Formats: sequence, C-alpha cells, structure tokens
Amino acid sequence: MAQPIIGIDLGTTNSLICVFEDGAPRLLTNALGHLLTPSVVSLDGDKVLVGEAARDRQTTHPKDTAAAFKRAMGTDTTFQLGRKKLRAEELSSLVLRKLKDDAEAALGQTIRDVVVSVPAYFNQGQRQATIAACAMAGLNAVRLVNEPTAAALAYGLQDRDGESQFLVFDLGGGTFDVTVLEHFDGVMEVKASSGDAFLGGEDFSEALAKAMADKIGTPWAKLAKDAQHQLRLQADVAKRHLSGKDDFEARLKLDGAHHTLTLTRADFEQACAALIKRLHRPIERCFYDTGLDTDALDRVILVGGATRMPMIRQMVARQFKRLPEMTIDPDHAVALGAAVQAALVAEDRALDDVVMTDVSPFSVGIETATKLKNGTVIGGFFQPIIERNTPLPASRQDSFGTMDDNQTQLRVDIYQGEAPKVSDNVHLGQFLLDVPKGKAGHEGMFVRITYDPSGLIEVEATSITDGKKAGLVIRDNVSNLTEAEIAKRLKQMQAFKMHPREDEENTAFLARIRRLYEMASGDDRHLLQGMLMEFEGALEGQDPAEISRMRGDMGETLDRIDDYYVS
Amino acid sequence: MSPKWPWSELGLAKRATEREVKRAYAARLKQIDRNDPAAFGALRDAFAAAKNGALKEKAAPKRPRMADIAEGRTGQDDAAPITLREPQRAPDPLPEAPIEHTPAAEPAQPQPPQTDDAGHQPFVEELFADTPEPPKAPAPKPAQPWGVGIGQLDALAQEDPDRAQSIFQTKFNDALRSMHWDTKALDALLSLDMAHDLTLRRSLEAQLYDTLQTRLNDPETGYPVDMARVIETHFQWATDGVGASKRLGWRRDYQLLMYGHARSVPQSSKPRIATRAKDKQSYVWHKISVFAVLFLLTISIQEMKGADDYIVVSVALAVLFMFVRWLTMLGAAIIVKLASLLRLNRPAIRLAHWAFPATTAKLTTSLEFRKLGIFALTAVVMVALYLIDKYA
Ligand SMILES: Nc1ncnc2c1ncn2[C@@H]1O[C@H](COP(=O)(O)OP(=O)(O)OP(=O)(O)O)[C@@H](O)[C@H]1O
Ligand SMILES: [Mg+2]
Repeated sequence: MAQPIIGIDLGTTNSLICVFEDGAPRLLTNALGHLLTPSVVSLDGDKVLVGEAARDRQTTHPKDTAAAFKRAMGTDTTFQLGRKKLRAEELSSLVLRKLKDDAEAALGQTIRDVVVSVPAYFNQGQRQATIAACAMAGLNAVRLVNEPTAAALAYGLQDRDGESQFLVFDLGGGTFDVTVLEHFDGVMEVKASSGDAFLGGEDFSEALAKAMADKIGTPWAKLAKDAQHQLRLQADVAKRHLSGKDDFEARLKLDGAHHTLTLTRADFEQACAALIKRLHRPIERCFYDTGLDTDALDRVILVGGATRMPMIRQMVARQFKRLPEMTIDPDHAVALGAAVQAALVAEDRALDDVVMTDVSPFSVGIETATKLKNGTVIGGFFQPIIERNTPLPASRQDSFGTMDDNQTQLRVDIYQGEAPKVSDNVHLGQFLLDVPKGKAGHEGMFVRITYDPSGLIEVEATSITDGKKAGLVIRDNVSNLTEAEIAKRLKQMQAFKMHPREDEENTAFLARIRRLYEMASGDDRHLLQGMLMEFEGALEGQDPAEISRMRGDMGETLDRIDDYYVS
Repeated sequence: MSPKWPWSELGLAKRATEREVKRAYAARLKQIDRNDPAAFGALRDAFAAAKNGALKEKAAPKRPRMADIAEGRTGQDDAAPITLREPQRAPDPLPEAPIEHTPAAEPAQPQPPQTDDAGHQPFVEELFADTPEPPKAPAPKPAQPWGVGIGQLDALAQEDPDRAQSIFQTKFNDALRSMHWDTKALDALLSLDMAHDLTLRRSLEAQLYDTLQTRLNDPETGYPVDMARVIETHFQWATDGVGASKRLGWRRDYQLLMYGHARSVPQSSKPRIATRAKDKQSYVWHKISVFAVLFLLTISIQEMKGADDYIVVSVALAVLFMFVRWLTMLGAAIIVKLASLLRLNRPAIRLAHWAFPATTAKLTTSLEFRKLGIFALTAVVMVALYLIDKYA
C-alpha cells in the first residue's frame, strides 16, 4: 500500500495531524478522540505525557512540564523537566512522536514522510530546528510549508475555480503572520508574507495576567515565578471567556489565597493596546511590498485561535473595511493545508491542476563595507541580493568590488533579514573567494544567490577578471546534522518512553481532577477528593466498562466545576 | 510574424487583456519545470511585463468601500454616482443674507447604506457598532476648530473625514516641529485608526523624514532616544532597512538620520537605537559623569579668585547641561579644570573650543531656547555668586 500523505501543524499551543486521501484532507483524532493535541510535554517519572494530560499538569506539576517551546526553536534555550534538561526541538520531537503514534493507530499504517507547517516569518535557523525535531521523532520532513500559505491552500481547495485576491491573517498562540495571495485558474500565488515570530495569543494572556495582578494589588514584577505562571494559566482561561461575553467573574487562587475579580472586555482591550499596535506593522509591510491597496482585496481570512478575540476582528474589519471570514475552523485550516501541500509534493493525481507559488519572507544578501573619505572603513552593512517577497524559485546576482589595493581575498558573509546592519540579521554562512591583485575597486566578484521553495539557498561567487568560483549551499533540509548525528539524537530521544496509549484517557482524567482540586476551595475540594479516591478504586478494579461509566458520570460534575473556577 | 515578448513567452499570439494573461500564465506555469529558477524567472518576468501592458478590460464593477457605503455611494458605477437629493441646487441668490445652518441647506442626507450582491451590509452594523453612527444631519460645527483632542480624532473621522484629516495634519505638523520633539503626541497620532490608512501613512513617513532632515542640519546633535523609539515603533527604519529604503526611495539618507546621533561612538559599538538595556547603561554613565563634573566644579569654585574663573565655570556648567554625551561633558570639564589649575583662565574657552568644536560651536548657534535658557540661568547664578563673593 502506498505511503500515507501526511501534513502536520506543529503549533505553539496546539498541534494537529492530517491525512490526504481520496482527493481531500482529513484530520486525524488522537487517543482521546480529539483533533487538537496541546503542544505541552510533561514528565511523569520516566514516562512522557503529551497533550491534554500534560496541559493539566501545568497547574499541578509546573516543574515537570513545558509549554510554548516553539518560541524557543532555533535557540539554545533549555527547559527543565524534573531532572532533565531539554531543548525546544527535543520537546517538539516528543509532540511529533505523539502525533505520529496517534496517526499510525488511526490509519493502521506507518508514517515516515510528512510536510510540516512553520510560521511564514520563521527564519532559516528556526526552520532547521523544526526539521531536526522531525528527524528526532523518526519523521522525514520532505517540505516545510508556511502556515498562512497552508491555510490559503485549504481555502483554495474549497473553491477551486475561484478567482480572488485575499489576505490570510494568522494569529496563533505564539506567532503572527500576514500573507497576501491571489488565486486564479488553479494557481495559488503568494504575493507577500510578513509577520512577527514573537507575537501571539500567549502575549495577550500575559497582558491580561498583568492587569489581573494589578487588580489583586500585587504588581506583576513582585510576584514569584510560580505565581506568575499560575496567573498566566488563569488569564488564558479568562481571556477565552472574554471572547464570548463582556465581563467575566474570575475566581482564582494565588499563593493560597482566593480572589474574585471582575474583568471586563474593555479592561482587557486596554491592556492589549500595545500588542494591537504591533499587529499593524507586518500588515503595512505586506501592502507596501505588493504595491496593493487594502481596497484591492476580495476576502480577508482569519486563521489561528487568537483571532477569536473580538478586538482582533474589529481591528481587522477597520483596517480592511471588510467582514473577515472564518468558514474553516481557524484551528484546523493550517493542518488541512499542510496535508494539501503534502499531496502537491507527492504529485497526487487529485491536485493535477493546482499549483502553488510562494515567496521568500526574508531578504537574503551579503555584508559590505564602505570607506569614508578619511580612510576609515565602516563594515557591517547589509546588501540584499534577493529581496523579500520575491517569488520562489529565484536566482539573482549582484557585483561587488575590492576595497584595498592588492587585496587577494574577498569574504562573502551571507545574511537573512531586513535590518541595514548585518549584526541585526541572521547569519547563514561564510566563505572566501580568491581574486587577483589589483587596484582597489578594479577587481571584484559577482555573487549569485539561488533560493528555491524547498528552502535551499545556494550562493556562488565568481571573480570578475579570472572567473574563479567559490560557493556554499545552505539547506533547510537536514543540513548541518550528519546522518550519524541524527541517528544518535533519534536514539537519545527514543530513550524517553511515551505513556501507554491505552491508559491515556484515564491518565488525562486523573490529571484533570487533580488540577481542579488544586484550584477549588471548600466543599468542592471534598467532592473532588472523593471522586479521586473513587476513580482510583475503579482503576484498581480493572473493569473497563465500570471505568468508562464512571468517567462519563464524573465528567459532568467536572465540567460544572471547571466553569465555576478559572482554571 | 511571431508575436513579441512578453506575449510570446506566455504563449499568447498578441497583446491580451489581463484576464487572458493570467490564464496563459497559469497554463504555462503548469507546463514548465517549476523548480528551475531560470525557467520560472523568465515566465515571471514576462507575466509581470504582460500584466503591465495588458489591454484595458471594461472596468469591473467595484465593490463599495466602507466610506462609500456610509456616504451613500455604491461604486457600482464610478462615472455616475447615485444621484442624491437636490442634485442642482440653485446658487444662493443673496450672498449677504445671513447663512443659516438648516439641515435643508446641507448638501444631502446620507441615504441608507446600499447592500451589494455579496451581502456586505451586515458587517457594517455588526463591527462598527461601537463607533458613533454618522449623524442623520450633520451637526453644526463647533466654533473652535482645534478644540479636538487626539483621542477624539478617530470618532470625528467617522462623522467628518475631511475635517478630521485636516486637524490630524495640523497636529502632526505641530508635533513634528515642536522645539522639544513632542514624541508623545507623535506616537499617539500615529497610533490612531485613521493613521493606518496606507496612503496617508506613507506620506506621514515622508514628512517625518523631511522634517528630521531639515532639523538635523548637524547630524552630530541627533534627536532624543524617544524619537528613535517612535520611528522604530511605527516605521522600523532600524530593523526594516529593506522596506524603508524602498518606501523612502531617494530619501536614502534615512540610515544616517537613524544612526546620526551616535556618529561619534566608536565603530565597534552598536548604534544607540534605544533598547532598554543600552539606555540604562548610558544613563548610568551620564550620572557618573555628572557627578564627576560637579565634583571638579566644586573644587574649582573653592579656588576661584577672579571673574574669569566664574566665566570658565559657567561655561563648563552650560556645557554640562547642554550635552548629554558624557564623554564631551567630562572632557570639557577636565580641560576647564586643567586650564584653571594652570591659571590659563582666558585661553580655557579657546582650548575647549579646539578640543570639542561641535560642542562650543553649538553654544552660539543652537536655536533651542531651553538650552539657552539654562545657559542664561547658569550665567546669572554665577554672576550672583561672584558679586556675593566680592562684596560680602
Ligand atoms: N475563544 C478564544 N478567545 C481568545 N483566545 C483564544 C480562544 N481560543 C483560543 N485562543 C487562543 O489562541 C491561541 C492558540 O491558537 P492556535 O491553536 O491557532 O495556535 P498555534 O497554532 O498553536 O500557534 P502558532 O500558530 O502561533 O504556532 C492561544 O493563545 C489561545 O489562548
Ligand atoms: Mg497555528
């Protein structure tokens, strides 16, 4: 049987896995029967928990649990889980492995090749970390797809003969992307992408948490790390409530004391004013780059859970003077589109007449220097060769001269970014080119950069007078890790044992009772304690029918308590 | 005869409409090797050129814009806007008659918003529910045209866009040209909803650039770090050089403006574009140097004998207040101190001038009254001290 075609949305908050079959994408459920798997990892003894159980353990076992690690992709930040220290790509690889296990169980087939979505505004380092995470989970990332582009593919597939110019506004848990596209005759053409890799729903939660701290009367900065963490979790829940109603009574527990706060939507919006300001920048960039006016758009599409906030919809409506759409569930669009991209890569027959062209979200260029009249040399200037939002694949060339008389070498330092100073951009690589001796500026080189949609960047420098060449290939693909290294890291990660799948429903249920116990007060606490004992008793009894009946009965009570307390 | 580029590249026989160009491009795109940058690049170039030179299609009906809906225009046909009531009102026969603002004399009442086939009407109510509705009849304008706060401009823009525009522009000009760099007002203005209109914003950026350039004829001075922060928040000259140089075009010197006020900083250190940590550091240095200068001055005052000493000290104090750069201050103070130790009081100023030309030149050319004020105040205090010293 053919390999299944798989797309994965590896989100800051939630991850999903999707298969493309019979000409359409289909989301796969996890062991709990849910489509969304929270991107949270927790260590329980020597077993790894991923998903809802881990999310509940953020309250009860904050020291063994890590969340929102996608923000640290491509950095050396480590997360402490119990006695283990893990990097963001290692934690991501555990989430990927969980998705893989669940999907294999659902499909009855093994999975190897996948397409994974990344924020359009992820740079090369962050992309490489994502690919390494796949490798460590035993997956082969054949392609990365930009999240808003994926969402657009999902929408495009709904309306294949459509013809429109539209914008995808993707505000997820940790990242923000805007993309302007045009769809015509089966072509999905990305015109421009921009974003902020560090702006998402989590920042809105944090802003609300700070406002809540002020209401309680303890400034945010004075709170202990643990208390900040708990308050952030509670703010996240309050935030969701405020999407549905104008005010919300939050009952929360902080440092052992119970507080009741009335939060209004207006308070929340005021606390987020600075974040809203930051949303405008990428939008403006996109439109200046395409030379379009907001009036030229036919549709505005919202993607990502955080776009459920009314203030976001209002901001979008005001800016674009259009009613934003979310006909596909904003949590699902990216995963569906990732599967469509996987089908495109696999050249699935159902998509014969569909073509997608994307752009490079960043400029790529080299470092240059200038000599002032008094002879001092100032270096560190960035000279873009492929400008951002160039359709891919692209190949561009520029020429550069020597700076000193009888200079014998030119250093080609490749950077990705938009800042005029290279020090503010991302360094991709470096090499040297020999040039013949000559007067300053009389010798030089052509530098050609070729950038293809799979993320491969090829740089070639040619000496102008003698035609000598030197070059470098920078890959998105498993690049800087050798096969042996990948095998080693895969093995290391496999030392982590996943919690058994059969047990997962019960584990998640127990984690939920414990979390509520932590939050609740008075009689509710007694009730929860009783439930905990009763349920643990049933687990001892090992009668599956009895256990499942009890989960159903108690679930309703838990829902009620969950509604009452913010947590 | 074979057709010319770019039409040939797209497989078109002759110049075509944009719709045909797109269809041809889509067809070609599905044939070529899309992973080959050369083939793809050639097709893209032809596509861009052909779109530019495409035959004009019959203008497609335009979707009504928010503003149009509110004004009762639909944009279905730009040439013939919906005729409003009283299309041709006779000119006022009696110019000297008192003009009354009766609703009937106003041009027209907004018609109920029109709904187009795409059903764009509902959202107007739903999403703009919290913004004040345009009044049925325009309210009489307040007599004081500038009695509108920045915070009220967005609301005003819903009622009377033209007036809001003009007030906005006036306030923006004031903030830009204010003596003390009114960065707060600039930030507030640029954060308004109405300032997020893309065309307006672009023009504001250009205005900002031009004003900065005329104000900074001496790039040694620079502007407050706060200003850099506002520019960065709204236009990202520092982090988005690629975009800024595209938008500003020939105004290429924006980098100089951005980095200008840190020009005397050694090459290795980063320009002072105001990240908080860096500010703090320079703030600490500032404090240290102020203390150092004051310390030196105290010693000088104890040793002071004649009028020259007081002049020297007042110059040093003025220098202290006028220039934030700690190195300059420290340098000037040390020179003054050395000079006074060596009893070279008169030449001290000349010496300072020689060592710090920009500093002392500014002393005479600066137009900033605040600085001159401080200078004058210092001088008065010093003269008073001198007089007390002499006659007490
Ligand atoms: N009803 C709601 N109201 C407000 N915010 C919500 C709501 N539902 C979800 N969110 C927020 O949406 C965010 C999660 O969105 P989503 O699952 O799309 O992100 P993600 O795909 O995991 O992240 P990213 O795409 O940035 O990597 C969270 O910050 C969550 O708090
Ligand atoms: Mg997402």
